[in-house]
Amino acid sequence: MAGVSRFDGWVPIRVFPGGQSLMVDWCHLGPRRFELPFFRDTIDSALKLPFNRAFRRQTPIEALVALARERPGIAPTAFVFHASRCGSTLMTQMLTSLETHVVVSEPTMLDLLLNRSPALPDFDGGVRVTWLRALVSALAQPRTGAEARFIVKFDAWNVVNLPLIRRAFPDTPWIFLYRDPVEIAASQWRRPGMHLVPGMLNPAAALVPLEAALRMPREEYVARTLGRILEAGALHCTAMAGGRPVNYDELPAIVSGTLATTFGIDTDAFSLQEMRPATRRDAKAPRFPFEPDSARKQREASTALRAAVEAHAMPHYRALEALRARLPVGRPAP
Amino acid sequence: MTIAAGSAACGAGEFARFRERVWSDDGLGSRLRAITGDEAFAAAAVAEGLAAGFRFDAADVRAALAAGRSEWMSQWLA
Repeated sequence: MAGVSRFDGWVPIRVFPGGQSLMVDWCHLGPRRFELPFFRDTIDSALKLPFNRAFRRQTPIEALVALARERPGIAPTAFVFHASRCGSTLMTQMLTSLETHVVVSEPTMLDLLLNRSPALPDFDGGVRVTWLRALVSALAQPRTGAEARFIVKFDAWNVVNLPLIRRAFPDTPWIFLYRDPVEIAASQWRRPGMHLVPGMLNPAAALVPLEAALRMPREEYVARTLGRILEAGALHCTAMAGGRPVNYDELPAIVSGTLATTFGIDTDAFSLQEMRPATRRDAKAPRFPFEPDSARKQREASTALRAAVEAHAMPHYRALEALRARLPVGRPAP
Repeated sequence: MTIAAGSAACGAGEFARFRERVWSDDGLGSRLRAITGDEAFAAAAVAEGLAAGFRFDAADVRAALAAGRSEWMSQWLA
């Protein structure tokens, strides 16, 4: 690609159909870090700048592939998969506190490569793997000079896409973070995420087919969806190397303890001090302090919701807990 | 190049060509990135464009600003 230096400070933010291929939308971030809880938050904020609305660049996705070849980004350090509402944002906010760590949380464009959208042509797995690598490489380009580690947190439903992700990144360690599904279900009941609203996700990514979802009680839909996520987490932690189940109850100490090597954290006093404030804030609303909410969520779950969770999600949670119990005793947090 | 005065299509084409200039000119890009208000940005873009030989008006810039926002949002509306 002519002039890769012309992409200095630019990051891909979106993919969209273009002829028989895909196009990539780029936004200029300069040295700005992904400090906000989600990738989308950082880009929304960057788009307040008129330049980033009027002068975004659009290239064929092949330009990403050429960029990755000529200037590979930081190799991914680790991937985070999660069951939603289980502390993944706390984990990524702790990692983001370290200036050595680039953390991208749930970029929608990765989901579009993993799950074929009706709006996009159907590309075979090999092409998807190439594009996935190129997109991750472009996101992992150093922009401040301090970056040494690169971590991607995928959307909750992407845990079912692990085989394709592992094909693209066979050596990248990953964790699957989960929590008592009654607590997740209570949270999703009150304020559902995209994957807990039937029809909101691209049909290829839907964990419960739309037709069936519309015929079942909402409690069952929530529980079955969470069950699919926990089931995939347990299945892949068993079948694939590099995966580790992590329970919400192990946060935040496990990040700088057992998982320090996985996340490439130097456990010196400085790094630990840098991460500490993130453990005291509400991860998704950093202006507010963190408050433990397990007891409240347990109280909030209705009898019907508990029964559905017991039937459709709890067996997979217990399987994960059994897997975790067999792990070697980890390193304590310093 | 002769440009029909008041031609929106022509203005949009000129703005598209100016964008390519901005992408290849770091100094020009830096100056435009320093502007935070939409109206000041539109005025500056028109002035920079004119200085570089591109004729478009503030309406072309405003249209690009609106398109840039709606394209980003479109991925959740498909």
